[in-house]
Amino acid sequence: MKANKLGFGATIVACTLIAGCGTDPQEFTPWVLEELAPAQGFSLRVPEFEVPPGRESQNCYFVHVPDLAGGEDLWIDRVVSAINPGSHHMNVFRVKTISGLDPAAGEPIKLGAYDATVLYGSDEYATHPCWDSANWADWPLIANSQNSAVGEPITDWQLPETAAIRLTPGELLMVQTHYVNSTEQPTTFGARVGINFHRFARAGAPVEMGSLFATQQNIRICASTPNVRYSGTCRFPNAVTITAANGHFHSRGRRFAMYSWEGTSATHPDDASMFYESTSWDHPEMATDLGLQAAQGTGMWWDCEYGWTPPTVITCDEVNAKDPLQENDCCYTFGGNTDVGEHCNVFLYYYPKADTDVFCL
Amino acid sequence: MSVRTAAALALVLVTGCSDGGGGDAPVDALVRCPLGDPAAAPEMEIVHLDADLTVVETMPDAEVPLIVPPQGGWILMLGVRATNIDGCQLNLTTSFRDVDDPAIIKLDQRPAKLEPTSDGWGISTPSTVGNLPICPQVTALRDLYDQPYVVTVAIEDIDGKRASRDLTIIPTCPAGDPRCTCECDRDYVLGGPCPPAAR
Repeated sequence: MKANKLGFGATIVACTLIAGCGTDPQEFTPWVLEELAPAQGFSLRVPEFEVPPGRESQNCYFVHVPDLAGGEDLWIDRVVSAINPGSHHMNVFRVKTISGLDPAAGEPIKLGAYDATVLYGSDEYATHPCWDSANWADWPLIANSQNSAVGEPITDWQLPETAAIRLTPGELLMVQTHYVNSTEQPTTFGARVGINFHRFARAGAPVEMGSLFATQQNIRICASTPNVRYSGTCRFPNAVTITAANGHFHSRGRRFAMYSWEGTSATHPDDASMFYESTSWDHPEMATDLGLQAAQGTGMWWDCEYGWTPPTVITCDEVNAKDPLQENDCCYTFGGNTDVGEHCNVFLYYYPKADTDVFCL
Repeated sequence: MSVRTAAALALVLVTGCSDGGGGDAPVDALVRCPLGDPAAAPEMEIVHLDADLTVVETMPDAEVPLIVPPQGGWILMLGVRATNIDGCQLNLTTSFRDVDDPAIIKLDQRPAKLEPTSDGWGISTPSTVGNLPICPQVTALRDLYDQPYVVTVAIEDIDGKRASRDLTIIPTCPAGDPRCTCECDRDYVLGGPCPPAAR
């Protein structure tokens, strides 16, 4: 085990006037993650890049799962991510159907020691395939982090009991980074991401973890109806233990909540059923170690509450141009760019995984 | 910033956000849109978006098109035509279940507003219909297309007046779209091979 040498030695002090975005001067100590030896797992490192003020960046990196166990599957029970401030999300997917987002079309790059390719979505949110979520509609999530706080850029997720993520050597993964450099979410210290996947080393046989991804694809947060709530449900195919969850929306998001749902009632679950709540859009906490039992046939109910505010970087004209219904009401609709579109996404992890992960699109 | 935008921003500042409670959706400043006779019991019919995204009345055993949303999958878009109710600030709940099975396969709840018509009724518009994700569906016990299923549409207005209807419908894939029939097949496994969509 050795420390990652990163070229940043000292605490960085950034100034609003210099960076162009951000609020008060803040201190940031560059993160350091250990480099994992093959017996421990594998380490991915996204090379540092800059995001100009007022811009967003979404990049899609493709890398194969290394063969660390003589061709046997890898079981991962701890994921440690380190993310420089300004990140909106970092998601790791298993690549399934390839349609508009082709790993072979990417530029070669190294993610640490591993050969990879990358497609730089930059802020071409309307046209670039790395922004078009239909391109990864059936790609299950295996890990994610939305935490890039200045004082806490590292997320250390230890899976409970014998739960573990099963990866197959040669399997293709996509690491997607989304950085924002606005006054609301400044990228003052450069964009930089590291992930360590630790191999399962506990006693007993691992139990495969699955993920649930649910989203509200038809949402409208409009100037004339500024306060709205969208809700949905999603069921599990088998009895599971929910171990971790986090919600995802953009800057008009005010409250994200998830509830246990018994699967037959159309009545909103009561507060006692709530197992996740976040009022932070830029650094929503990931709830871990939930240990919540969900019987077969039951599921999860989620709410996304929004409060309309004007765009901060672009104009309502651009928001209106994106509105598929062209209602000219500055309506934020489903989309990845945080100043133009909104999301209402659930990332949830459970075990045991049955035949498949769960998608509620 | 337009006058309309500025007015709406002021409204945000005045009304604030939700109190964070579980059951109560955030409410904007009170705007009334009475439809029909406020003293009478609410009446309603189910409507849906057709393949060309027009709102049409849903008849019993109707073939209702499965529509492609932005991030993939296939959805039904259901709404309501109603009277004797306040057409502004409605809460619209749509749900989908198997015939003779109380388990709800999918549920969607959202704010809605009805467009008044000259007959004292109001009707959902394409921007306020519910979005019911149908396929892929890991808990499906049979194919999700060309088979009867039950949809329930319920509304509740700002005064707590409620109406609800059930209807058996037949979700239908676009003609000649093999991806729809593949992803809506009972045995479809997420990420499994399917032909491209005819989109």
